[in-house]
Parts: sequence; C-alpha cells; structure tokens
Amino acid sequence: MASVTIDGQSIEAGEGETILDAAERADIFIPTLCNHPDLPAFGGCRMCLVKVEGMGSYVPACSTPARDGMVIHSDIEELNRLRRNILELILSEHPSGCIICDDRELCFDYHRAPSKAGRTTGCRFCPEKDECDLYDIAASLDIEDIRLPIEYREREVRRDDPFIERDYNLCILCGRCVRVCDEIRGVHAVDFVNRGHETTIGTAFQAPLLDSGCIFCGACIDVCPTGALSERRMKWGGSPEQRITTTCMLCPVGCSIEVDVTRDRILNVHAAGPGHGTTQLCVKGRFTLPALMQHHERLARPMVRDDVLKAASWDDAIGAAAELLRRYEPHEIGFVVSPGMINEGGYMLRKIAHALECDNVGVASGMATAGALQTITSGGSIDIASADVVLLLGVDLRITTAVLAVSVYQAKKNGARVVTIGCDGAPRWADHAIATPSVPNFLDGLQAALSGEACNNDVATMAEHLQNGSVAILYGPGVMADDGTAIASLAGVASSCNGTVIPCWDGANVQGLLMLDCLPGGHGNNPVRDMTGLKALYLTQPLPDIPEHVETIILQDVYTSNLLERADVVLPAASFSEEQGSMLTCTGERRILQPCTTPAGQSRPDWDILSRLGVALGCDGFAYDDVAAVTEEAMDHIAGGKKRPGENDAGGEERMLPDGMLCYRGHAIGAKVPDFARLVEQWRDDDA
Amino acid sequence: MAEHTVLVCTGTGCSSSHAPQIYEAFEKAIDERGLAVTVKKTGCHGFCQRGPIVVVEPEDILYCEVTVDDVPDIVTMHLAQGTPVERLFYRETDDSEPIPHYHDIPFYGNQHRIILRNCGQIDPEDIDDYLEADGYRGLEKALGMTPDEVIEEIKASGLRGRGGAGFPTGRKWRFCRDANGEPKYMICNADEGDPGAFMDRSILEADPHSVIEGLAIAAYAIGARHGYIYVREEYPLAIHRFTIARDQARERGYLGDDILGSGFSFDIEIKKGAGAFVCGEETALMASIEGKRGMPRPRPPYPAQQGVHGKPTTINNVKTLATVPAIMARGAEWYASIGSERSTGTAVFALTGKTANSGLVEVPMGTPLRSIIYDIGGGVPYGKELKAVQTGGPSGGCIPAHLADLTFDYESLVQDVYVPANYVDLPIDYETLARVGSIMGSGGMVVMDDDTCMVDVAHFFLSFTQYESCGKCPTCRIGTKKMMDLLAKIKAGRGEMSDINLLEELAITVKNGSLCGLGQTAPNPVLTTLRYFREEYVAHIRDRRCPARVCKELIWYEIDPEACIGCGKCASNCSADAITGEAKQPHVIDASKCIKCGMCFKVCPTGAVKKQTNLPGGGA
Repeated sequence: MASVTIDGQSIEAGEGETILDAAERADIFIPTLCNHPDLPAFGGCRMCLVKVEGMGSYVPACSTPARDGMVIHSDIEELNRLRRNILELILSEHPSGCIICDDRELCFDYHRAPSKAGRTTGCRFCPEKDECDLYDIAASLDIEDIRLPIEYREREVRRDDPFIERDYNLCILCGRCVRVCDEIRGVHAVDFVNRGHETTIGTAFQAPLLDSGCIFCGACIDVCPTGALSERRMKWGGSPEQRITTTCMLCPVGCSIEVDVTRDRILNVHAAGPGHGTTQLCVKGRFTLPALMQHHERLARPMVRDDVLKAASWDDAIGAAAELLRRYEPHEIGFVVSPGMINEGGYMLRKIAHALECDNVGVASGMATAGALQTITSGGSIDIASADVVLLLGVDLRITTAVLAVSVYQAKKNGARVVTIGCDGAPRWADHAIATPSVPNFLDGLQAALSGEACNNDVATMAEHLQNGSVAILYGPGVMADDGTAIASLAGVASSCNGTVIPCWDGANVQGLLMLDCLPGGHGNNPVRDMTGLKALYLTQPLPDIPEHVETIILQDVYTSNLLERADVVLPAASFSEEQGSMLTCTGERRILQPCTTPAGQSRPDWDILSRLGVALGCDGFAYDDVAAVTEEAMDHIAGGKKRPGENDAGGEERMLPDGMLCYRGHAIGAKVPDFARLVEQWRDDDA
Repeated sequence: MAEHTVLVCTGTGCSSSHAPQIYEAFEKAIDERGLAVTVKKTGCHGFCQRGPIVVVEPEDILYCEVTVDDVPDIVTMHLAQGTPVERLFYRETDDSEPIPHYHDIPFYGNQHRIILRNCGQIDPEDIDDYLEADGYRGLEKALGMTPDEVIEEIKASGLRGRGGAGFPTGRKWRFCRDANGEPKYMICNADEGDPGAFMDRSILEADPHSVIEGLAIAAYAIGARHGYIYVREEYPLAIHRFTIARDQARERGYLGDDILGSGFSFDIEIKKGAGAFVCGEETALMASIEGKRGMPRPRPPYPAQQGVHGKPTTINNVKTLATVPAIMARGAEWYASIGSERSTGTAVFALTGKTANSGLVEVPMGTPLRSIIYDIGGGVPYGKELKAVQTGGPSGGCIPAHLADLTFDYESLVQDVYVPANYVDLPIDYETLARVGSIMGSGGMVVMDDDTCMVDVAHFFLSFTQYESCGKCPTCRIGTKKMMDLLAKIKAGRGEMSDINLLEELAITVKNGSLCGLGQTAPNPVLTTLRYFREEYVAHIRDRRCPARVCKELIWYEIDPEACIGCGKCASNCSADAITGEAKQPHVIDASKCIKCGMCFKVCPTGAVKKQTNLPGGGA
C-alpha cells in the first residue's frame, strides 16, 4: 500500500498501482488518450503527464508506479496548458473543423445520424461522431482554436479488406490497436511503420489485412478512440436505440454479446464487456450477425407439400407434421438435433422423440458421441491462462472457439508451454506444432508413453512436457477421425497428467444437447451417421446425402435450402438472436439468451413449435405457458442423474459434417456473408 | 629487434583513402629491401581530416595525407637512410612551419589521452599488443576484489557516464547490483547516432579490447552473465574488429566460463542496429535488442530495475567502458586527480566545423573552451571570426522550462547550447556547462564562424531529429515538424514576428511533453539560438535579410565591377548560363537565371563575386 496525494487529496494506492490507478480510484480525472484498461500502459499520448514533487520532469500517470509519500499535481495551469498544446498538435493533423466549431451542438441536433461520407472531413461525416475520445478530451480542455498550420496527412483510405475499413487520416497514433492485436490476441498484424512525420499504423509492406494474418476479430476497432478504424457495413448506423445482452451461438464458447438494435434491426455487435467476463470476440460473433440473422433467405412461412410446397397456417402445418409422424413405427423415424439449437429447443425435440418411443436421436455434429460425454467437466469455469501446459489437439482455432486462443496466448505469456498436434492454422507463437496424419494414433501413442511404455522421440518429449504441472487440453474434430475411439485415449491421457479437457465442439450447443440426452437410446441409431431403415426424418438443419428410402422429411429450420425440394412440411424457426433461453458452453458454463429482435416473418422459437407439435400429437406434458417452464424442466434434466447412452454410438468418418463451425444451423456463413467467404478463402490459401 | 616500427592507420577514414594498400606497399617494399622494420596496422588516431596517417617510431614522426606513391620515398629516405620525408610532415596551413613530431603537434600535444590511450598505438586485431599495453590488468585486479569493492572504486573515481547525461557510473552500477531479478544484463551502447560524432567508432576500431575489458569489469560488478554490445550497422569495420577481439578474448580466457579461474562467467553478444538514431536512447535500444521496433518506453521503471526482457540491466557508453579498465589498473585516486572536482577525468570531443584542425580531442574536464578551439583546434581559419560553438550534438538529457518564463534562466541541464563567442573562456565540465545551459552530450563540438546562419543551423538540426523521430509521442512527431515548417517559412522570407512566439511555445511544449531524450532535446537548437541570436531571427523576418548570407531565398549574387578582372572563370563554371561578359570586362549575373549554387563565388580569384542580402532595416 502506498499513500499518495493528488491535487491535495490523500489516496491509498494498492500494490503495483500506478498514479492513474490511484486517481481513478479517487474519482480524480486525469485526461488520457492512449490508455486503455485492458492494455499495458504505453505512455505515448502525453496527456496524462503530472508533476511529482522531487522528480525532475513531468511523468506519465499511466505508467509511473505510485510510491509512498508522492505529492502529485495534475489540475494545474502549467499542465493544462501543456495538454492543450499537445492536443492542438494532434488536432492540427486530424480533420477538426467540427471539434472547435461554435455551432457544433446545433448542427448535430439537426442531423442526428452521421452523414454518410466517402471521406471524413469533420465530425459531421465521421462514424465515430457520438463516441469519440478525441472530442471528449478536446471538450474537457476547452479547446477553442488551433493556432498551428493545419495539414492533412492525405493518407490512403484502406477499404480493400473484408469487414474493416481504415482511415489513418483520423489516426492519432495512440497505439491501442497495435497493443491489443499483439499483447491480447497474439496476432500482431499491425504495428507502427515509418518514422518521423510519416509514422503511421500499418501492416508489413502495407499489404491488406487479409494477407497479414489478421483474424478480423475487431478488437482494434473496439479500442480505437477515433473513427480511424471502423466496420464497413454498420458504421453509419448511429447510436442504437437499445443495447441487449445475449449469447452468441456461432461456436461453443458462447461469448456474451451486446447487440445494438434500432427499429427492430440489429445494427452491430460488441463484446458484453468486463462485467460479463468478455472483452474479446471473434470474426463470426463480432461481424456476421446482422447479415446472418437478417438474411433474405430466412424461412418466413410455414409450408406444407401438396404436390408442391404451399404456404400454410401454423395450425395446418403443425397438424400436417403430426399426421405424417403418426404414420410410422418409432424405429422408422430419425430425429436430428442441430447444435445451433438452444437447450430449450433441443430438450423439446428429444422429449417428442421420447414421447413417440423413438430411440433414433442424434446431434448433427461429428463430435457429439456418448464417448465424448466423459470429456465434459461439469460447472465452473476453467482457467486456461494459468495452465502450465496447453495442448491443442486436432482443432482449428481460427474457425472454432477462436476466443479461447486469447486465453491460450495469455497462458503462453505467463510462461506456459503450448503444443499443437494436428492443428490447421496453429498459432505461430506455439512452442511446438506437430503435424500428424492421424491424431488418434498420436493419442494412442501418448497414452502409452504416459503409462511408461516405449515410444518415439516426439511422443516421449510430449509426455515429459505433460508431466510438468497443470495441463489444459483443447481438442477438436481431428480427434474424432477414424472410428472416433481415440476419445477414450484422450480421456486416459487427461487423467494421467492432471489435465483439464475442453472439448472444442464443432457445434455451438453440443455440450448442452449431450447433457440433455440427445443421443440414441436403447438399440437406436444415430440418424446423423446411420439412416438404415429410416423412412422419416425430423430435421432441424440440412444434412447431405439423405437416401431415397427416407420418404418423409419434416424440416424445422432457419433458412431455405435444397431440402425444400424434398421436405414435406417446412416449419420456420427463429434464430438465436430472436429467442429466449440458454446454452451450455464448452467450458461448462450456462449462458442466457435474450431476444434482440422479433422473429423474422412468421418464424417461432424451436421450443414453441415443438410444444405445439407435442400437443397436436396428443402427448402429455407439452403444453407450456412460456419458455421459463421449459427452461426449468431442461435444467432439471441436466442436473439429475447419469446420462443413458445407447449401444450404437460410435463416431466415424462417415457423416463427419464438413466445417461444422463455418456454419450456423448447418448453413455456411460464407454463403450469407460475402466478407466472411473471403476470409475463409484466405485461410484455405494459407493452409495450401 | 626492429630498428623502426611503422604504424599505418587503418581506421575507416584512412581506409577509405587506400590505407590497406599503403600497408601492403610498406610490407612489400620492406621485405624486398630486407629492412629491420615492423609494419603494424593501427586503428583511428582521431585526425581523419589529415589521413591517411603513418607514424614512424621510435622517432615519433607523423606523416599525413600519405598516398601509396609516397611509400617508396618513406622506405628509401627515412627507413633505409634515416632522413624523414619533410614534404609529408604536418603543417597547420599550407604556408605554416612543418612539425615533424607527433607529440609536438598542438592537436595531439595538448591532449590528455586516457580513453583514447591506445588509439593509433596498437594493432587492434592483435590481443598481444593490447596485453603489452597493460591490457586486462584492470580486469585481473577487479576479479581479485569483491563486486562491491569494484563499485566503490568506480564511485571514488568520480567517473560519470560519457554517453551524454553524465550520471555517476558507480551509482548506476549500484542500483543494478541491488535490483532483484535474474539474469542481469550488461550492455554497451555503441549506437553513436550524433551526426559528426565518431569517437565510439574510433575506439571500437582502434582499441576494441578496452571496451571488452570494461564490459567484463562492469558485468562482474553488477552480477551479470550476459552482455550485449549494440553497434550501429553503419560501422562495419568496428563490428569486424570487435568480433575479432571478442573471439581472441574468448580464446585467452578473458571471456566465457570461469574467467581467469575466478568463477565469474561472462560473454558478449553483438547486436547490430538497423539505421535508427532513436535506438541510441536506452529504452529504445533495449526494445531493439528484444526484436521489437525501436520505440522508447516511459521511465520509471528504469532499466536498472526492469530492462531487457524485464530484467535488471545496466547500459553504459563506449567511452565510459573504455575508461573503466584504466581506472581499475591505475586507481581511483589517479583518475579523480584529473579534471575538475565534480567532473573528474577526461572527455572526448569530436571537434569539427570552422576549425583548422578537426578530429577527436581528449582533454581533462575543466579545460577552457578557448583552449580547445585555439590551442588544439588551431582556431578559425581564413581569418574569420568565431561566432558560436555548438556542443552536445542533437541529443541529450532534459530540463523542464516553465512556460511563462521566456527569459530562460536554465538552472539545470539543457542540451546543445550555442555558446556565443564571448563565453569562450568557459571551462568545460558538467557543472559549468550546465550553468550556461549545456551538457557534455556525447561530445560533439561544432565551431561556427560568421558564415553560419543560426536560423539555418536550427532548421538543419530539427530536420535531423524530425526525420529520426520514432513517432510515438505527438509532441516530437508533430511538434518538430511544425517547428521545422516555421523555420523553413522564416528562412524563405515569409516569416512573421508572431512566428517567433509560436516557435518558442512549441519548443517548450515539445521539450516538456516528449517521452524520451530525442524529443526533449530536439528543440534546444531553437531555444538556444533564440536566446543568444534572436536578432538573426528578427533580421530574417522583419528585414527579409540573412546576415550570414546562407538562406537562398534571402540572398542574391552580384559581381562588383570594380573588382572584376573579367577572367571569365565564373561564367565558365556557371551551370545555369546566368553570367555574361566579355574577356577582361566586368561580368554580370542575370538574377532571373541564377540558381544560387555559389560556384562563381567559389572560383572567383579576386573575390569580386559577392553574396548580397537586404540591408538592416529592409532596404536592398
């Protein structure tokens, strides 16, 4: 603890705190531009300079440790004058007409939304108008004029990348984007380039971000204090009417997101922030939601086939579905649960199957097997960042659970050893990246090595690493190759080395659905892998290669697809941003979803559709007043008792759904969001 | 036993004038004639202006501006017949008396060489030469003491860092020794970015072992196993010689494991710079060593607590480390007896500019500036008057100047003062320079006469610092640019009187607001020229006049018809065809065509070509 005085006020500063920390604690305002709570101190903008008695020159409050007995002055004329002068220097190069204009407020009141412009020549035409740190500081320091010659830097505006646009004419070189990309994400796609007056932020050789390793997570845009970095599609949306916190369902991490909504349209998505444990997102959650959730290919009306598909009322469609299902024996029907479904939806589908005494239930995921259940840890969060060793097995962190890469990188910075085995797109900062034609074989060898048997060098070294402290194991679809039995070796490896396992599922809510028993029961088959003997399929997402002998298909989905050519009943489902409910993350946490907009067209939440279906089938216990009742039942089911996997539940190469995590609800995200397709193509090129 | 020893300087300067060929020519000629002469290659004498330099012992004869064609004469006349070659002796000017002996030449005779003790005397690529010159004696002594005792010895000597800031070296080592963290690092800063400074280069080329020994002693004192020398890549010969020396030191057991059986292990890694002046700043240097962009970090925390890779680190300049072995060998008391009370020992200056002799000058601290310029430098040539001396190069420490206080009473240290001619009796040491408003800097000293425009000089140095600014903080990145633009405006005759105030306020903002020494000292040329030569600024602005006749927009060339003899040399050298005239008739310059290159001025034998500028008060 250190006792310091700032502008006459006594403050107790904690261990390792800076002068700025102490000031913030006492609600004393010291202006900053380059400082950010999530980033290491930079000391570059010089706004937070304070005078400490006994120290020769002014020191930056953001980086100077608070020492006991320091007498600090901040709000004094000499420093405020210095701050104004420094700001004038910055403003002499930043389009700043609006910043010092006397009519600013009046002008902005008449034009609420920013005027969309090709080139920002003032705040009026800047996407950051309402949230600009530079303006805030200028206003707080009462800048009235800029006495220096104004000089536009005339940098090229970069619009050649997907998602992100860069106008470095607005850049104040605070370095936040560089720091977040390097220190937090471990990517380091951009840095300061050139020297002197020509200094700017850029990639190596000023190549597009796409060619520079950028993962388009948007962290840079989030920390940029000005309008220099912005997101192309939604940057002119203005301040949203509402900000709704929900959960992203595009991968099993289930990040908490804050969705900007205006007039029932999603404008933008941000991380929900430190209060929700998330400050980082990935490209999918950060950028693809508006286009994805509001795409014109959303299924909007229920349809029933009368030779051709015809629009129908909900009652008629549900009735037709129930009637079709009653025609078959239980063993002739298969129920496919999409991992894009929330707990409530998956639970209800399984309940329908159960009510019909049908055991042919499966999740449309190559990794969702009974064997995988043993890799699920129950409850609580797993702290990857404090592991001593992190093992990545057969998982591509660019595509799935990308945000976990942030924790892995933090672990690496804390001294952990990071090893990847059979991973595409392995991070370049991994200590060892082992390519192997078969992850399962490697795992078998590893398990043997940990039991003391002889093995080759690679495996032996690995085994040694794994016995040096706590281990976090992240595994992905690569482990399920061959016959999927390697999962047992994985569990064996984990227990031999004090390892915590995190399954990086190839579907968002696989964990929840597994815990809800969406697996074949008794002698049933998993219809995702084996459709022998099935005559009817209840699908909640498209599947490829459905054999001819499946004569009836009921499709409850979010988007149109080829399956509409075969489907007998089509029931439009609400997307995850339109419904209330919950999901289970791959780290064992339960996350809540809130509806951000009303469902598209006439679509309804999955649980609601299935509740009506249950009633139409004449089954008991399907009448619910609201989703809360469904949630309660589903959670009780998860909490109570062991799961009862059936016998026929091997994995297998057949039915491995390609690129599960490049899809939502089985539909390729790239087909709905062209910028995302560009990114996927780049990854393919990089891997080739 | 050889009768003669011929020392051929092969520093960078002399090498670029064929010194290696001169060396070979000597070897060949002596071999052919079977003379009992040893030929040695040495490093830089610090007198590159007069190179290639050849010294012949034992007569202590110095030959300058030697060419390969002179070798036969030296071999035949001097080495074989004992008659030195007079035409190659040093002369201060073409018609002065020749001075044959090295130590009689005022440039050398008035120096007191401790840092440069071996430069030009030994073969830098031969460790045995170094050992013969008492090499590694300091290290041997140090290893027989405890690290604390070594630190106390350096403290007692009063040695202060020769990199520029003048921080007491012993105290710096103490901080690092006391800091927590392993491993510790010892770094030699050999980036030497100041334009015109070449002392570090000379030392590394001429006496690399002195730096190795200094590093080893320092590492022992602070408890470091790992050492770096960060050398600017523009010094390939220095890097080459240092590498050879390091490898030889390793072979002989002065580096590596268990040095001289003491149990102390230390080795040095050579890290090359990549062309950035800012990497001479210690935190930027450390970032560069870590493989990052050379951008400084705020201090605190200081390198002694958190340096390279976050570990306790000491960084010392080449000259500081080169001094350390001498202090350990001969004792702190000896060193403290030289120089002045608070600035002990000697300092090396790179004396350049309008001076008869230019090169490296080493004198005891407290030597009057006058003595350096006149007794060693030989004064201002061509009958010109001394106008100013710039000390410290464009980099250095920092001082806060209060915004309201425009009369600039510096109490603490300011870089790069322009000392007006009437301050010439100033003794040079850290304290007296500080009182006037200067600091040692890394030792650049540029002499200026009336042909130097102070506004132009300020602009020139600002253009350097602006170009080299790393761009991290807006004060340096934008501030120096704005100041430079203002000065360009003034030089072009478009200045306004309010520009002076704006310039001063900008200068203070940049000085007080910048993160590192580069930005904090960049405004000093402006601040100090405004302080001592304000009337020149006023002349440029109010009268559109450049008193020194340098600023092109404010001058024009004219031929005085009375003095012109019509020789036509000006016209034939004019690349713009701006001069016309008949033979033996006064010639005329057409101002509309003149590009002001100054060739006519240079070649005119009678001084008829004049550089004109507005009269004071504004009239033409």
